[in-house]
Amino acid sequence: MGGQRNSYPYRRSRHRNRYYSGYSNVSRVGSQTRDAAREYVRKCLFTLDNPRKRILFANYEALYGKAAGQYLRETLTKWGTGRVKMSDQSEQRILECVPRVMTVTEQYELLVISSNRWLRKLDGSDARRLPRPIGSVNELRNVYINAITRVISERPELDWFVKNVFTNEELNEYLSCLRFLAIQRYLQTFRAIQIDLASVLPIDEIEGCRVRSSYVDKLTNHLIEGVGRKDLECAPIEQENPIPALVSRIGHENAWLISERIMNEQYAAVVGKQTVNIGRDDMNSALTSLAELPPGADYDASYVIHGSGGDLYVHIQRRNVFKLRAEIAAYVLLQGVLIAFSLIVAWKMLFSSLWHASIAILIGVITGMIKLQEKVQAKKRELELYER
Amino acid sequence: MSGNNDNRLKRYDEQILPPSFRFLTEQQKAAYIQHLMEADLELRRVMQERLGKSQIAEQDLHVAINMIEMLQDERKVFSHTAKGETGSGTYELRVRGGDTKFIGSIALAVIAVALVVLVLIRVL
Repeated sequence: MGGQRNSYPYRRSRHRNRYYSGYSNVSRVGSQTRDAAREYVRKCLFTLDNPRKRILFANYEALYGKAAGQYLRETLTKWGTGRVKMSDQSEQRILECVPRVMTVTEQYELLVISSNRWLRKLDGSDARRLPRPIGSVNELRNVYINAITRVISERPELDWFVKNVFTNEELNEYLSCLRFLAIQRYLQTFRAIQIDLASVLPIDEIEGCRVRSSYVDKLTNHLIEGVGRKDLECAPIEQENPIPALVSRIGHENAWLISERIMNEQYAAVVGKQTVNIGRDDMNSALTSLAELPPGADYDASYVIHGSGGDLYVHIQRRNVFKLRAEIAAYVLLQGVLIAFSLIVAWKMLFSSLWHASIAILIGVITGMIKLQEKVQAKKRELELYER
Repeated sequence: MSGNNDNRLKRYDEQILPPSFRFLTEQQKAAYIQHLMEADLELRRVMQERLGKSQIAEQDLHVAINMIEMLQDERKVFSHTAKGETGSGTYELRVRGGDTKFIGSIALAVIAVALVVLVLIRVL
């Protein structure tokens, strides 16, 4: 399933033309982002064509002197092959000069890589972490609203060598694009969560069964336990999100970034919506089948439905009430027998030389009794749920 | 190319094109429409595949339930687990049954009583 969800055809490498911005590189996380930006500059350095290489040499010489320029000319190939390691000073100089001779597309790619850390932070999720529990969809709505507020108020930290090649207007336009996309993503995901729940949740009460549903939203990685009809009443998020004017030098790149991202999200939303509809039919058909099970049989049925906003987990449990009562009675009887048995044995031993053994037996019995009592309580609680 | 592009665009008039579409170059617009068409095809393929999976899962579940009914009719104590993939996700069904006379509970009670009797005989 997971594999299929990522099977968008235009994400495959053969579809990545020169407009592909690398936005999906957001999976490169945290501290790796800075290194990724530096690594990208290095990669571009070694793939520069001759005219741009000449401009680089000229700029480098003008900034750091003739000797430094000569050193660059002689060492560039050796850096590329790894025969000579680039010093920190040389790296700083390369970072200063190379982005200036990159093509607009390369500069834009560098900008995207450099802002990946911020994008990741905005997502607020980390696939390696366990889902964080949250009380209801209403609380989740607040999480989304806070995230949107954060998107509006925060600025990404970009690497100095990235800022060097863009004007303030260009950076502001790019930042507006990121904000537009991030807000759009939050709004669309929350809408998708509501659609997922509305499509499947009416199956929350089945006669004679215990139904527990939970939902994990895929964007912020929150887990809502016991999701139910009450969660369908949650209001949608009202937030204006106008598209920024894309008129700068990198306007077309920004427009592509937004268009491609929206297309991916629209595709995911349609797939998710239709999958949830299939899920609802699956559940209905499964419930019809479960109703055919012999009345005395106990069952546990678990379903996972991958929606467009997250995953819905439904657990349906049925227990034979008479059997539960019989089990409780048997456990209580066993408790009584154990008490009688141990008291008799202990009484006999107390007046013999084995009095210390009688104490050990009593301790063992008390421990056993506590465990049995826990079992009885658990069964009673279960019984109460089915008798309600 | 431009005429061809216009024709393709008309096809997608009903779809909501992103608000950024007007800022794209002609080349980008053509690439975008191409991707949109591919996504359309992919969507149909994926949905067909998922529907197929769900039908198979439904059949599997029917088979499992028929088997359970058979075991129940034969008054056998059984425990059965069925796992599978549906078009929308996964399912797991665990069924325990056949113990219509609560054999387990009665056995527990009998053991307990037998123990008491045995001890009483030996002690008293």
